[in-house]
Amino acid sequence: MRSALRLLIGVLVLSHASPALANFGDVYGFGARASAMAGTHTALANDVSALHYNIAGMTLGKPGFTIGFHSAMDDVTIAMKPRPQGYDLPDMAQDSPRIPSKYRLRSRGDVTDLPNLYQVLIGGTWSLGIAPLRLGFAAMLPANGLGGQRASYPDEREQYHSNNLDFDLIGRRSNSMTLLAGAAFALFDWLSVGAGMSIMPTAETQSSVYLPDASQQDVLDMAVTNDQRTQVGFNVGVLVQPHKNLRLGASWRSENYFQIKVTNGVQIKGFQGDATSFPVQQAVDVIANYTPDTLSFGAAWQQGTVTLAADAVVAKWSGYRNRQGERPRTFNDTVSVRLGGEIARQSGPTFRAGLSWEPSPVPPQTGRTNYVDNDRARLTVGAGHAIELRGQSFELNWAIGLQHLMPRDTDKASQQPHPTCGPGVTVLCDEIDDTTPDPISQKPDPAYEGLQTGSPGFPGWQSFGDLLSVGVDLKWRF
Amino acid sequence: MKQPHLHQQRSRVAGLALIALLFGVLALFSACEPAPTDGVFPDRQTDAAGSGDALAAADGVTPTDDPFVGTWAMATDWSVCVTVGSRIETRSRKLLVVNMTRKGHRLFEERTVCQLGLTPIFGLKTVVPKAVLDSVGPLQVESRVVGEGSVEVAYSSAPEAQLMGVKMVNPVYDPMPAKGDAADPRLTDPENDGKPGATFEVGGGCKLYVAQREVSSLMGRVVSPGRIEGGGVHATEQVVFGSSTAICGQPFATFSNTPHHRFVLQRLAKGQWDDNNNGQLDCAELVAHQGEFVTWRDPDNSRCPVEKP
Repeated sequence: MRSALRLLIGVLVLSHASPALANFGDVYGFGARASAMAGTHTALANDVSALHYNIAGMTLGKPGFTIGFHSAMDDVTIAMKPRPQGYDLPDMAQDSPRIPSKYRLRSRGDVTDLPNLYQVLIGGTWSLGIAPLRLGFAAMLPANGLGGQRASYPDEREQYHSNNLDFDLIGRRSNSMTLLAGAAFALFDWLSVGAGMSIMPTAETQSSVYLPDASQQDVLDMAVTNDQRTQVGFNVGVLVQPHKNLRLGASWRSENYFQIKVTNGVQIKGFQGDATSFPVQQAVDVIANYTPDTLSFGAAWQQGTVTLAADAVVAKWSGYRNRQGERPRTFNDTVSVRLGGEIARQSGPTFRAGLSWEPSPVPPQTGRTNYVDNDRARLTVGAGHAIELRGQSFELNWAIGLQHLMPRDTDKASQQPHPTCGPGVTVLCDEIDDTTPDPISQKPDPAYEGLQTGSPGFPGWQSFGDLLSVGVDLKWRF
Repeated sequence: MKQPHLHQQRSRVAGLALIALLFGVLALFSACEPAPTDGVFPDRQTDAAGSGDALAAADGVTPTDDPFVGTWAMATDWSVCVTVGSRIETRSRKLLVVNMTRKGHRLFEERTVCQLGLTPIFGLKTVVPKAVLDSVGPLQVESRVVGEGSVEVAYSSAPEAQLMGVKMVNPVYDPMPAKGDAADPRLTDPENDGKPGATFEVGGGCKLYVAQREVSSLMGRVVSPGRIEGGGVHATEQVVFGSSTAICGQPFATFSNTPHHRFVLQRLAKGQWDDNNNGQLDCAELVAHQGEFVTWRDPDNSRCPVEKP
């Protein structure tokens, strides 16, 4: 009967939706203990970090409260290869089919810095007096604002905007707000389950624009409606202890992302007789901080004071939604491998270290797109210090992590001929059709022969560098 | 001084060793930056490919002997009919220095107004002060040549607007200031006399305060190497904000007499008319040499029809 009740509660917990998103945690680790072990925590997490790694792990530890500060710095570079001569979009005055390359608002150049990240972790787990139950909440919040998003294009369209490249899966993307909540229940001494959710903000903006004179587009009336909502992702986890020294964990996390939907209805005087253009409808869908469906498996072996753990994390990056909301379907699913260890000592600190290999989901960018990402090798160290203060148990954990971006050299592939840019074209494409006529002779203008591209990623780039992270948590077990 | 316990010393050493290991690896990685490389795309000759800024001239024409690139002397001689009881023709004569470049069939002209003269009406001559002329500034105008290689080579230019006493974002199409609206922020005072708009001198004793726009477009043909002649369309809009005496502020009905417009473009050899040897044609030099390339038409009231065309 008791077992049946536990099973029922477990099923209820699993059926309870809970949200969580962890961009900073994905890249640098969620919590100092996990960060010190290269994120090897699927079978080890026992506090608020379980909300990120394996929610069932909350049942392993006593309830408690955690506050921490984490930071990440970088020394990364996207070194642009020099543009060869003769591929610019030509200046044909009013007849130019595209805005000529010489009129770009921003110059193309190397990227040598990413924003430093500062995040505050706050969260806790509670039992509500029911020993096998844990409810948890964690927030990882940017300490310098509320995060940032940047909507960029992955191909030649970006020339009209930043005219530069950007790391797609690190950097600014990690500076987001992470809200996680969930519940876990120990069905048996050897089995725990949990379910949670990640919450991401979304925004929907609708603007109604009246343009009294199309030739004076700086004179307009605009009424804006903005709705801010949330988007929920889910995660579930299970933790099994088949042997007194061995724990096995598995966790699944659904995709989630920050989304901004913008729709404009533009009324232009003079178009009122044309039902198809009155109003002109414009729609923009911006996606940021995308995290994929993730399936994690972990094992931990504890022998005396030594614990060793290993994780394999399968990320379904093939469902990646880029910053314009498109699903390129060209990313590869990845399997990350993480190893971590911990030596607990009778007196003195507990030392931790970890290694991981985080392969890039981005395939070779020899074609039209310019996604920048690198394989990463991670080495981390840290320690935990037990502190007794007025009869209360505290633990101070710290971590330092280094991630090396394996150098990547990208060259666009030459085609003969390069197809004209358009929907469905995936190779490096010609922005001006070779058959574009001279307006006077009506014959193909030789100025448009061959490849013309303003893609910021042309003719290629090199990306490399290192990421350094530090973090410290203070945990109070009660 | 209290000595730390042995296990505390070991802990410190172990912690420091871990951190040292980490930074050692960091230093190792930092030395792994790849050597810069170029892409696989070779440079292309922009002239041959036709891209970039150095567009080729028309087929068979190299930049060095291009018949259009260079300095030109321009004279426009517009016919305007004024109704003052009867129809009177007045000629609006301008001299301009034109520096011309080209991209394919397109000519890019920078025109500088050097002189503006109006033939007298009933003996009253209108003078536009130099400060007003200078305020017109160099004008960027795009033109076309059609039929290079054939017997008849045609020339036409896009609309060009000359503004006096007013500035506009879009000089060709923006509306003129309203009559009497001396507070229009677009009005300028090029001669700094504190009066709205530009000040024209009429008949030597009267000052006329105006905002004026002349829009013109030229159409002609190459009559000989280095010389283009033809006519065009021309319109003048003028808003009067006042005058020093009432008589010269009276409005007159005018219209542009299109069939009798004329212009001449004369290409100059390097150093030609450069009397002060400064390497360029100055306005004073153009004015001094105008008789060598243009013969102004005298007004002839018979050119102005009784009915507005």
